[in-house]
Amino acid sequence: MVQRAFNNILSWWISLSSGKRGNYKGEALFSRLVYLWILINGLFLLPIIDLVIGVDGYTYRTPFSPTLRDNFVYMLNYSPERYVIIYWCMIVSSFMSSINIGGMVVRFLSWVSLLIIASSTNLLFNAGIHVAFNWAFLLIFLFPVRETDWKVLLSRLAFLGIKVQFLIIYFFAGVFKLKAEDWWGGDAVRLLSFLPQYTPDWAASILQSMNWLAITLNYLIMFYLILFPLLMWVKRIKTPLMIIGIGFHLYTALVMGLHDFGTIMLIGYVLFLSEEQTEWLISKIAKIPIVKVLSFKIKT
Amino acid sequence: MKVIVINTGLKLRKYILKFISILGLILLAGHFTLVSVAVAPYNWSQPDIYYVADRYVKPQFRQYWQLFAPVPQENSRLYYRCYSDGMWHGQISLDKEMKSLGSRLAQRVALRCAHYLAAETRKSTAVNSDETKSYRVVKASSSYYRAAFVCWKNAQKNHSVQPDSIELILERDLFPKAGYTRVKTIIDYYGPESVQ
Repeated sequence: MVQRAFNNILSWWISLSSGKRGNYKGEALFSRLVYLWILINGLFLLPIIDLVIGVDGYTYRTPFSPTLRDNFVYMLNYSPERYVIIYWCMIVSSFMSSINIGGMVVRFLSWVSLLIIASSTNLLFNAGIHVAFNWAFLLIFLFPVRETDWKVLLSRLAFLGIKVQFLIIYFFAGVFKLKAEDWWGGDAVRLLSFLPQYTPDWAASILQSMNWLAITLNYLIMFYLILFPLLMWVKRIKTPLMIIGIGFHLYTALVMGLHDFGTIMLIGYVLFLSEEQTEWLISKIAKIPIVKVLSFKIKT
Repeated sequence: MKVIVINTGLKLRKYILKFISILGLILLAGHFTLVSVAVAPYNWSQPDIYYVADRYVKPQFRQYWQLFAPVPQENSRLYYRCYSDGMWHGQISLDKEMKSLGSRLAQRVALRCAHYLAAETRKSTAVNSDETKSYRVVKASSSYYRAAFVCWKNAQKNHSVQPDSIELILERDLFPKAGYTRVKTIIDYYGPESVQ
């Protein structure tokens, strides 16, 4: 058994640097969706950009910053002209990356500008932006090719990292819930229903009147998060597991109003699709009128 | 001769690829070990190791995955009053002001300011004789400065006032375990000219 495990690890490691990329289309789709997410959320900022960053913005500046990097970010944000350049750099580079133009340099610019904007918009965005800039960093090393060896290798390493990042999010979110008294006691979902900013009236009335539902959801969410990194690799239950997760993130995005976090995590599920499921999803996406207009096709 | 050169080239290429894959895997493993230490519960690692991981992660790989653990047990709203031209002006709801901008993101600014300030307030609150609770800022906190700064900016932008001082009023609805009580907390903010 040990020998078999060792052989499996060895063949996986060898496959990193040789052969064709497996679910290449899924990876390409994932990358484009992440940049699209950055682009759309960046455009949401446009009407209130002067309120948020720049010399007249709500950017809160501490009396001193502990690191050189922080000071550098603030220096860029506090200049009357530079913050506009950074904002548009983020928009243009993420648009270019979403249609696969510009390569590594453009993807690097997208990550850096997103990081600078994110550092001054911590009052606006939630954990979604953390997911986005961590993935955007790893996506720098993505190459839209199928067979050029070193580029394929880097792309594989990048996607391995992206998957690990996804699993870290779920695992530690589960761990913190397991340690929190409200979640452990089964009361968390009911308590959340009392917060009008996260639960609309109709959902609150359902959760408060049906206590058994709130308790079931509480434990389902907690154990789903902590067990996902393990159960995801069991083929038989992978699809039902993903359906539960998609439902959970649709609820976060549409009902709880956390559209940024909900949508980026939904995008993350593309990573775990099989080739057939990816083909099916791409065929559905290709039918969306705006996608047809923009010729948003996944090249093979 | 040509065949030997091609073979050597291919072998070299294989070695380079193996080297990149080993290096890449080591870098990925190192990165995610540090990320895991930084995002894990504080007592899971030695303080020194946590410090190193935290320094590595912030700001470029910053992340927190508590995600509603613990669940916030109160709903807070922030109001403010400005002191300028020798008088106190009427109370303004920061939430309504941000709502009027028509952007959901802007509304989050008001919610977050109130939420962070409430978290800070919980640490030190004193009950007054008129049943309000007051919280005096002894040591400056980032949540307090952040909220005051946003109100200050709003007073300047929306009301064309250059406030000498700003009073922050935090209204908190405490949830089930506390029995739905509403608490009003007054936080004085002393601007350039201190107003008693």
